[in-house]
Amino acid sequence: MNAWLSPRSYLLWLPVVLLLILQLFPLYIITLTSFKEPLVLLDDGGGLNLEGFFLGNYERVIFEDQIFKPVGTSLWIALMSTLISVGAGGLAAYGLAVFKFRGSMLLSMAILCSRMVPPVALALPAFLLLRMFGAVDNSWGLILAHTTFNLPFAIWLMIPFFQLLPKDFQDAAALDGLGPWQTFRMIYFPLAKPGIVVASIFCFLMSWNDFLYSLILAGSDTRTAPLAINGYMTSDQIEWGAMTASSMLVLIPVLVFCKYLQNHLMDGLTSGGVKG
Amino acid sequence: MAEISLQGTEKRFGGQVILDKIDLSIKEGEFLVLVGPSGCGKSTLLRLICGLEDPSSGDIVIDGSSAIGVHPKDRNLAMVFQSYALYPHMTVFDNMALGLKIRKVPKDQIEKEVTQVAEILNIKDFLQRKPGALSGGQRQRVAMGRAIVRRPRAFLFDEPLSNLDAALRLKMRTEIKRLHQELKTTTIYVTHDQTEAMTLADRIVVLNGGFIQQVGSPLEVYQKPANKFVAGFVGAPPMNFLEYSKSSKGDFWDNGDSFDSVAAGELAQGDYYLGVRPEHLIASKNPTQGVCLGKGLLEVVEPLGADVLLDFKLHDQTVVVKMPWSAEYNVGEEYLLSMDPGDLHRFKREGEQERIS
Repeated sequence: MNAWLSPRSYLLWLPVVLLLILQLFPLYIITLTSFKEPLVLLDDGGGLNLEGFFLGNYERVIFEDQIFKPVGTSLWIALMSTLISVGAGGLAAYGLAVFKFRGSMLLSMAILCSRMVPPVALALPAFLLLRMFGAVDNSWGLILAHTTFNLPFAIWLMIPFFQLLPKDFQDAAALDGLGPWQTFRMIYFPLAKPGIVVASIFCFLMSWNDFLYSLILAGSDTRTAPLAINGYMTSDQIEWGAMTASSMLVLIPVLVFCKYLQNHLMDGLTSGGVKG
Repeated sequence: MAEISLQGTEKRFGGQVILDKIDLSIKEGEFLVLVGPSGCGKSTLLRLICGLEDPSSGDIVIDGSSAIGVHPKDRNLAMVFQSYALYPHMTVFDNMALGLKIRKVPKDQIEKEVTQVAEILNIKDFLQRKPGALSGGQRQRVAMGRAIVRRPRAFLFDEPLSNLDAALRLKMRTEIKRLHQELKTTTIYVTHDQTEAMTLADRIVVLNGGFIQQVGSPLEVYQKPANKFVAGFVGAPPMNFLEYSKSSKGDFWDNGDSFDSVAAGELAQGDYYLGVRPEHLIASKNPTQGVCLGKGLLEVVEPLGADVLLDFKLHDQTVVVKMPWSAEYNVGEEYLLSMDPGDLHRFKREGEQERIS
């Protein structure tokens, strides 16, 4: 008998199914709502049935509200912030993981501490600082702001990935004649790819989903996707149709980004360089 | 090819002395084996020579000039690591070519050299594979290939065979020896396996606790071990050590049995070890030529194929005897254990336990 379908296994499946429902139900509702006419929505109170297939919400957010402009802004900001955080963070993590120097432990702890401050507490100082440099309502202002909280996280996340690589690689590289920078670029960076992919996805998502800093630092030219979605919630009404349709569209770049990282960076990773 | 000499080289970690004032010179083209138990400092010595670590004091001279402060890549030595340390994301070709690329060797020459070495090592068919797709023996060859292709001044091997199974280890050992005979490059080889040391070395250096115990040819180390440690370390199965004392009343084993002093030779009064290699002892029912150590009770028989190991209880001490295979040995019976007096080693029981010749 199939072990997956035995009575006992139903008990094991139950929590899995419950968690799945909890996870996927909001997405299901968003999808459903995005295809409903606003009037139908008011009638059935956001019910689970789909009457008719209405594309008007999408037409509106794409053509009337031009949702792809804030999506583009968000994409640029998230990509740049991720690139800087993972690039600089990778170098820092490599240094902290591989080279032992006085205070290296303290330094890695201090880096993490800076991430422990709630972002809201840093929002005002960040605003004042960036205004001083004229970087308010400028995408670079947001890129830098996101980098301040992405960078420590990226460093902290990547340190163990570098630490796990055998020290023999460092020695072999030194004997092959590689300097520290070449060792990082040619040996350690490619081998720490799993860590880099994970850090990239997390940094990208943090930047992509950021609402607080965007609200403070963005202007009309640098409105990000979360701000655009939030725009459908006014004091008079909540435009559920447009809000859910834009949410669906905002999902697409994230999915593409994560899939890209998975496909193009994770391949070619094989173990076996050292014994085993 | 290089001549390497260590002059009072010392290595300390914190307060702990890992290597204590090592003086050693390695001749051009020589195959030198550093052997000793784990933690004796042999790998540290290798890392000092190739520059991965700096000595705390003393000098390392390579081809007449001091290597202190010289970066590993400028020493032009190649190392084969115990873990192989092949870069898993690169193909076998790229692994072997990296050192040459960094040294800006022209592309077509790199291609030629790598192919040539791959041919010698029989790995030409795997050049486009990644290390993960190779067997242990093949990875071992690639690791050696990476070292050879650079034509370094010397090869340093850090326990290169310890991750291979017994059959493969034997094969690769022969191959390393053949390679050295072909290339004649100075080689320093670290192992804890005394059989590897005996079979490969021109000279063996036995290390223990950061000190050199003895330097000599395999035969010297086997026939004239400098102290009890070397005697016990070199040879398989290891040498038997029988404790006995000489006093004004005569010679006695530690359990009080008396002993014919002729065998022990002219010694001052004191406590000694008598060292006898298992292959030098003869167990028989009837007296034979040579010195008889006494009557031993056979406790265990371990057949090896061509030979058999016999565990005896002799004067309340355990003695192993290696004899040609024969079914005549019965557990529980007593046999006379005798030997040629020339094969007897004597060591002091106190201090460095050095050999008395």
